[in-house]
Amino acid sequence: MRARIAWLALVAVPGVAILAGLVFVLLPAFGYFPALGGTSLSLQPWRDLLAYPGLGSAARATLISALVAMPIALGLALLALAWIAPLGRARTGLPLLAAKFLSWLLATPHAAFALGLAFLIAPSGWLVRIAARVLPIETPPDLLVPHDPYGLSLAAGLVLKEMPFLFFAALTALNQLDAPRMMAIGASLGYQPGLAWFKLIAPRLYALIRLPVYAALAYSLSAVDMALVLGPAAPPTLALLAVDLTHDPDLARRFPAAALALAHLALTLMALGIWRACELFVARALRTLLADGVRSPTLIWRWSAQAGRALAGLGIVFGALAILALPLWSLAATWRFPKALPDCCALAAWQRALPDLWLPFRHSLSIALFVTLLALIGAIAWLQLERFVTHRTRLKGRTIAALPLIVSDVAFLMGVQILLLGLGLVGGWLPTALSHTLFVFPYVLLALADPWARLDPRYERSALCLGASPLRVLVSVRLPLLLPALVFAAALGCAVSLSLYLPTILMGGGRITTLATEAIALSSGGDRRIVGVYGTTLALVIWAGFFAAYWIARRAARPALT
Amino acid sequence: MLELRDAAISHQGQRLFAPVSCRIQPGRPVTIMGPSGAGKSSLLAWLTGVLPPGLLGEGDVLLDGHSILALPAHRRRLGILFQDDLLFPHMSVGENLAFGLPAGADRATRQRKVEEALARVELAGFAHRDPLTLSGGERARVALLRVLLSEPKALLLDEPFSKLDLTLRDRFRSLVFQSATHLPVLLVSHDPQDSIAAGGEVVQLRAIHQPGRIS
Repeated sequence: MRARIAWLALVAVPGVAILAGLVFVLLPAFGYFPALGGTSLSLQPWRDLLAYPGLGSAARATLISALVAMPIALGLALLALAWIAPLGRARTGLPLLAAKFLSWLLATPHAAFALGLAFLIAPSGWLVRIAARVLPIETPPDLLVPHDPYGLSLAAGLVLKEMPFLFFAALTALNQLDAPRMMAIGASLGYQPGLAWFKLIAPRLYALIRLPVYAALAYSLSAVDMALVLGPAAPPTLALLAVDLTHDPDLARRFPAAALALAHLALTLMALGIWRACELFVARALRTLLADGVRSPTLIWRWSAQAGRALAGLGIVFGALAILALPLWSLAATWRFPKALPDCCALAAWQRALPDLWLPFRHSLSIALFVTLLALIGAIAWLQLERFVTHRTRLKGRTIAALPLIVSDVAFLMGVQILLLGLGLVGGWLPTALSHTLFVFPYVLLALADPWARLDPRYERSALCLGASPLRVLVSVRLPLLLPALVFAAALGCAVSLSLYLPTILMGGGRITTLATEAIALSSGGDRRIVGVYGTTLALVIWAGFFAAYWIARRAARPALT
Repeated sequence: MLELRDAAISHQGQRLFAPVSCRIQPGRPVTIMGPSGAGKSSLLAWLTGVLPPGLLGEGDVLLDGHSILALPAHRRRLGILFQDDLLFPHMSVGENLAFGLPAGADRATRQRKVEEALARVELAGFAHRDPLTLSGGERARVALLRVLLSEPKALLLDEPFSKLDLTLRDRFRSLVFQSATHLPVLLVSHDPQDSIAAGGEVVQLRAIHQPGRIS
């Protein structure tokens, strides 16, 4: 009983935080917030908001970029999985190489990746420079990329960043599906392997990765950092517009800002609704397709697979160049327009940036380490207590933990910000760190949950029978056996925290600058070398974390954990 | 006719069992017997073309006089029944069967074929059921129908009776052998009852003694 109450208390933390955030965005959105001078309910914030120029096109660009990006990202992720690891384990050779590339892409922080991609596709960017080697291009072409008004550059960035996320989510889920035997049955019934995979594995896989898919969709709608670098400028996306309003020194502007944040929540729910409707439609169409007995790919299947492969190849080239762009810039002495490669190499940019780099570096690292520790302790307690509740309750709890990834973070974070304002508190290190924890925790929890459940329960049982207390069993049996999973979850937690942009902006009170926020802030300044230094440092810290985790996990790997 | 010629599986250069040969005519099932771990399932995996990496097959397999080893798994036309029914959980009973039916024909015809097949095994009206709601015996019958509807040229049985309880086992066993009289049937099992029910030739897999392995 006590254990169940303790578990409920843990579940309540993210639940209450989100609820509080939503309440305190709802009230000011309808004009009520005494601390800011709103004493009665009114529709005035909405009138102010609707008077805002470009609101409609902001909503349109937000929705288009997300709804274009997500189906492509999902399709490519499944296609890549069918090729790289149809049975759950990466094949050797080229597929294995592709899997490694995808893990690099996943580990590259959003901000750094967006900056690299922006340089790649800009009129004076790398692609044009490479083309200039064969074509007579002397001045940058007059193109509105990356900040095109429909948000298509943003969509491209979202595809490339969400695709590896969905790929690894699906790869992890694949282990639950008994794929080898299902595929053997499919083959014995005469089905060509690729088609068998899409008829037998993909539909069930999708059901298992629905939560990551929704999270990716919600993220696409609220990715402020990527929208700043790749999205439309005037007007920007809805999320960016809301954040801009909170920077207004006139506190009365918080009311329309709250209304806008609420509108963003509505847009998120609408997008999820559209997605759900498409899910049902596709499921219906699939039912006939599954039972039609067609055993080898028809022309349409083959064409779509070819198109997907071509797109994936293009994505690999773009992704690799975007990752390489920032380190290259940071080392460039000069890199004048039509040249495809910089005059290498100079540490001048690093020397210039280093003094200013220290503070955001310290903030980034201290927040990431604190948040990860907090999230790890929380996740261990959560999983330890979870065994006292039923399977259904468990799933509900995990959904609540994942809510910060699905509900509009713009909406509830702005609510929390307004609440702090009302309490007379200002943002800073601790509010920033605590808000990071909301986003880091679900990743750490989900990364630990699977290895946690797979550990042979007899280890603990035999330790208990030897007279060890439950706490001692946890500390000296379970946790050491799970060490590889723990260090990986820690690296993941650090990576998520280091990449976060929006919570730092909204909760930092203007005093917390991290590598991610500085890299984005500097990108409007124009010195690509300095931006390169910040983006590279950010990516290096995250990669170093994963390398350390990989190294520790390999050293600690025991046969019991296979 | 299905024919095995000096078939053997090896792992790291070590054969798992002495090579076996047999000719299987329609209506005269052949049983391959052997203790668990002798390599029975690996042999079937090799026949169906899904041998896991690390294992190597040798010898030849002929179906109606042609070697099938060069064919990919899905062109070999060998139907297989496993110990578990492996009905696809994301499809209804009817869809599972329609998945086995060859392509072509309009939806109504396909549906009628599925209904007729279900009626033959006393499962009339089950087409819309979720496989999860079926009993073990019912699921086994659906799995059998699914493989028969796919019109295989031979049927492989990988201990498909061992998970059913005793009374069900006998009934299902005779159903399988009765409905596959037109096909060469190869059964692998460690249960002597199976070979008696199959009634045909019995091939014993003799494990090759491996140093360091407890036999």
